[in-house]
Amino acid sequence: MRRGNLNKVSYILIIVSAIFTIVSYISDQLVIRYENNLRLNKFAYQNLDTEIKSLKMISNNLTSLEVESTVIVGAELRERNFWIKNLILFESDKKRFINHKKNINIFIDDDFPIFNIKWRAMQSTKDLIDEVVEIRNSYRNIFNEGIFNNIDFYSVDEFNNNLSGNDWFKKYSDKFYKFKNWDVITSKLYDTEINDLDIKDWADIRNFRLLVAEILFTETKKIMPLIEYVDKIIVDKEYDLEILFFETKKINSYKNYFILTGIISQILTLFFLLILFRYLIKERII
Amino acid sequence: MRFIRFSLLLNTFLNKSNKPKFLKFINIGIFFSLFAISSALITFYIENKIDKLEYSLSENHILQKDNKQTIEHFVQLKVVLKSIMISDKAITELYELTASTKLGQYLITVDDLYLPNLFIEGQESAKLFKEMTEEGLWEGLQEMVSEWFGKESKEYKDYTEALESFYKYVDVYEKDYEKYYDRIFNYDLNIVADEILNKEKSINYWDHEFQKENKKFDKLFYEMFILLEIMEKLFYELSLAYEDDIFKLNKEIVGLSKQESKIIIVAFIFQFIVFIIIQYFEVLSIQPKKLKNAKRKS
Repeated sequence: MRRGNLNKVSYILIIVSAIFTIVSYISDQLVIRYENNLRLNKFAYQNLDTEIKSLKMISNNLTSLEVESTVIVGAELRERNFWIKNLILFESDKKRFINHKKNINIFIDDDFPIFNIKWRAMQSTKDLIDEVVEIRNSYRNIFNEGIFNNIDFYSVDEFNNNLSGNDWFKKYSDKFYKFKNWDVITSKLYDTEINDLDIKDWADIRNFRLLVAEILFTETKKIMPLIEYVDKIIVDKEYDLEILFFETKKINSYKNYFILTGIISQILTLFFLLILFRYLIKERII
Repeated sequence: MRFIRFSLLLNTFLNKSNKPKFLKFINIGIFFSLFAISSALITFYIENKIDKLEYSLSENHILQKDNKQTIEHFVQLKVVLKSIMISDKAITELYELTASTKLGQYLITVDDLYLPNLFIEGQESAKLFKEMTEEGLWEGLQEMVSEWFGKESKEYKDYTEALESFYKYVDVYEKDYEKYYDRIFNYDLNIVADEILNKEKSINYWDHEFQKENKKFDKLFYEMFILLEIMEKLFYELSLAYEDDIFKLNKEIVGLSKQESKIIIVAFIFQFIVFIIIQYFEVLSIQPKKLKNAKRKS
């Protein structure tokens, strides 16, 4: 072989080194691309995870409020006739009730038993109003979430309107003797002496409580489909999250493979270059 | 500064006396590059295995997370239902006690005490229970209990008995309580007042259908709690099994990582020995040539 001229083997070794260099370069580029995809995937995963947590919070809160509302309605319905029957028996001036009271003949001959019944009825009415206002505000906080703006089977405005009490006395005027508006009821509950309320006032208070229970019951019935709607969205998003998770794992695996491929290609390039130099020295080409 | 001039570098290569030195360095370079290739390939192989294990580990973590959430829901549901039932029962018993007095028997009727509960339960839970029974949910869970605890286990027997009892009472949800809407939300106090004058709807005789239906609800919930309790136990044990699997997978992955280092060290030692042997024979093959040349000169 003539000194200074590269032979076939040399060219093959050079070409092989070049190929591995190119492979190493391509692997590095792929690593960068997959790293980018991984980053985007991680963002999407974090966003979706946060969204799911938010939806779960909404679902749990709605469920808790629904249970609380049901308990209030149940308790109110059980109590709805008890104290009014006591009052009717004690205070009615109709003969049949007076005679019936005499026949039963077990009443304490004093004012305080009936005063206690009235006082307890008054307090529990105020408590009921507070409880309903608190529940309504809790629901309103949840309904501020964006998800409730696009539901076609449920209207937040309707809920707000129904539980605001704005048109109760106008809409249900047939249920009341004296209560015409909120001012009247507020005055009766907070500003009037208990003994100054007559049987018609107590009848109105009883009907008012029953109306509150009825409206709360009606609105609470509409919450369950809402919870199911949110839960369905959660299930769909959790499925998407799982897909994203495994996609992230896959991208990570490919990234690692390409890193290793890049390293191996670089080493092979060096290896073949060393073989080439060894061959050139041995064959006295250089 | 010497080696920046390319011609000087080339002359260094062309100098015959430097060639054996360069060959030695090149051989060492080839040895290290072979070692690097083999380590990379070993890493590639073992990382592939670890990758598959990590995939299983991730799946187990997801299953464990779902399982824990299910347990949380079960416990929450049980706690809330039980709390409501306990307080409900206490109030009902108080009313029943009051109703057994001379005054109470006129003031508390079955409509007042039992009908609201039937109405609310019938509205709220009827659809849910209907879906659960129609879709065979309880039977599916029974299968799980049988597979996990075994058909001869106490848990399976308790579950089966509770389920049979459950189905005896679940028909209470098939009744239409919505028809009592106006009876419950009755604003006419004349009707309420008339109830005071007689004992027709008194709760003391235990013969009214509302009382019987209410008792059915109590029994239904009691059986449901037994079912939920057994399911909770199953999910807790499943959680321990997942923890075991996760621990084993973690141990396997750590084992493989340690194995990787050991294999690489063994490969290095082996290649080093091979390299020494090759170098020895190469040096040996060069030396007789040198002696021959030296003899010829002399």
